[in-house]
Amino acid sequence: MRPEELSQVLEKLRQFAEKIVETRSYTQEVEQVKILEEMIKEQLIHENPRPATRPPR
Amino acid sequence: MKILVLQLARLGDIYLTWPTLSALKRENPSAHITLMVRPRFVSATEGCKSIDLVEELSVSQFIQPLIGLADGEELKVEGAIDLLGQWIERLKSQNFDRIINLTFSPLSSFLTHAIAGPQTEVVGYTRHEDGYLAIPDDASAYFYAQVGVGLDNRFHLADIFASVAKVELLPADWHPPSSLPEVLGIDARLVSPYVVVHIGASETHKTYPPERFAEVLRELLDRSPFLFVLVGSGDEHDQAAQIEKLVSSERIINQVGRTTLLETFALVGGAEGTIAGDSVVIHMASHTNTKVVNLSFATVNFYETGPRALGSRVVWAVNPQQLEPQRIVEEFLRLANLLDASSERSIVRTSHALEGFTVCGYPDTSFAFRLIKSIYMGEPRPELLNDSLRIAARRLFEATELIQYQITALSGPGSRQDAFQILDQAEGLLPTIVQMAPELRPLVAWLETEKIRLGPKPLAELSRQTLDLYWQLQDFLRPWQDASRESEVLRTCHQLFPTLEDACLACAEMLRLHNFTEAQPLFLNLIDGYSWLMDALRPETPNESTVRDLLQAYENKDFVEVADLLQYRLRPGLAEWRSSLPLAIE
Repeated sequence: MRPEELSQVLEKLRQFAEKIVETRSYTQEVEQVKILEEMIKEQLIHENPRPATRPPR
Repeated sequence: MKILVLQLARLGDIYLTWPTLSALKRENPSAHITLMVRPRFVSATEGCKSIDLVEELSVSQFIQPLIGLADGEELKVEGAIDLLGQWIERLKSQNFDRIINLTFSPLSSFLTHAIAGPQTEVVGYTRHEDGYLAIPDDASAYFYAQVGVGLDNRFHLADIFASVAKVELLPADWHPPSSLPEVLGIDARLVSPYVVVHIGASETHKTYPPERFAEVLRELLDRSPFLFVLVGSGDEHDQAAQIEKLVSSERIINQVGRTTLLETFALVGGAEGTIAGDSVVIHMASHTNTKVVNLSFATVNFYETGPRALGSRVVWAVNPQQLEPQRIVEEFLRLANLLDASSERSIVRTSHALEGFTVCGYPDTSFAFRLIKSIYMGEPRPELLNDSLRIAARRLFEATELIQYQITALSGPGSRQDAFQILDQAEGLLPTIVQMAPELRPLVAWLETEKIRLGPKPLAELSRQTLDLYWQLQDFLRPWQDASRESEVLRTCHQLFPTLEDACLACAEMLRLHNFTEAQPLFLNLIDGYSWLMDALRPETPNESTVRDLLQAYENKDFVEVADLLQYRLRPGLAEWRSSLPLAIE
């Protein structure tokens, strides 16, 4: 998948999570979306960035 | 007891996790240990007898439903969530007693929180209920604040992993895989003593150029009796072929791209030594106790990921281009006892202690790490060695005072918004001060990390706890402020003494010449200066009787007596006092 496609997916996931947070606050579903977001972010950099080089927030 | 360990980094980190897994099993023999890794790196778990089950995190499986959407098409996230949810539920239903996250990444922190149950003891990064990062243990907080390339940590990553898992490592926790293939099955020539050379590294910018490697090998072939076995991944095949061609010797055995991890492990284990950059081969050598000449560059922190076998040597340069082949040759010959071990510039693993390298001939950059040990281990504060550090430490102290004041103002009368604004700006000073004196970074990093660890709380509670952190920082800085003030006073004293001694003589001469117009103000200044010294150096007042006699004579207008007292008692008395003062505050 191309980086721009990944960025689009990432943006859509963010919007999806925001909508849930607005209506139902932070739920298990939001957490799972966050996990997917992080998986996509890792694909954007490369699959296994050295842990210390990335801020975990 | 069920333990889940997350290690979602690469091959090297998995091998560095083995000692922790071994210690966990040793300390909890009946524990069932699951190790979560990525599918690409499962082979690095082979032969680790402490692992009961390997759980693979297949990222592609979960993100597959999100991929390939047409433009404008709404994201159907439910499919991905379903798959992920099922996987998480399966893990969660195992009710792990402990989850040890050794990955330090955002993804691993969310996974850890998702899999943990209410009774699970969690160490390593996780999340609060509102998704905010949680760092429950001190070792992970240390990692967050101080570990990484360009930072000042000098503890080995394997020791940090063990600290996170709350286990003590023993030498026996470093061990090769339970069963290894025969080296002679890989190449029959390996009946002779050989050296393993890993020509690549985990990343391109850490890799030594093939033509320079060839130069190293040509000289080592001349100056040592060994065979040299080239190892590496299939991606490094071309470099290996280039080296083989350039060196052209029957004592070079090219195994690049031809060995499995276990075969490479076996080769390293049987070798007389290893030459390698920052790569998995170094960690294999740590498990087999094989000495390494480690080619290390500024993009790596050799303290964190360097070799463990005693006698291993690190050859350091800013980048591969600046590392002369001759240095590698000589360090290898020293490692193999073929050259006198003493060297003007060397980094040698001399102990299994936390900071186990002895460094000679490189600039002393240990201040920040000594500061780290002072913050986290209660060791003495390092001395501030120059004015820029002293000034930066003072600024930091002043900034913390301002911040404390503003935090207090949050709960007092007046505009809370103003207090927040000033607080923001004051906190913004801290990174600026660190830019001024990067050696002080560990202190600010400690503070920022501890603030994160406070987590979500009501404002009043958060303010109180934040204030407490600033108190702790100020307590840490205060002895430096006191020492700094003492140093300044001492410096002024050393400047004042000769001035007063000269003034004694000048005043005595003026009095003898009846030049009272100039002598009187000089005499009064002299007495003022003396009083300042008395205050500054209290309780020492060695010339008290002289000054009393002097003032009495002055009051009696006995200026001959005053002149004699100045020249023959006060002046030598001051000189003696000065010589008894230390030159600097210890």
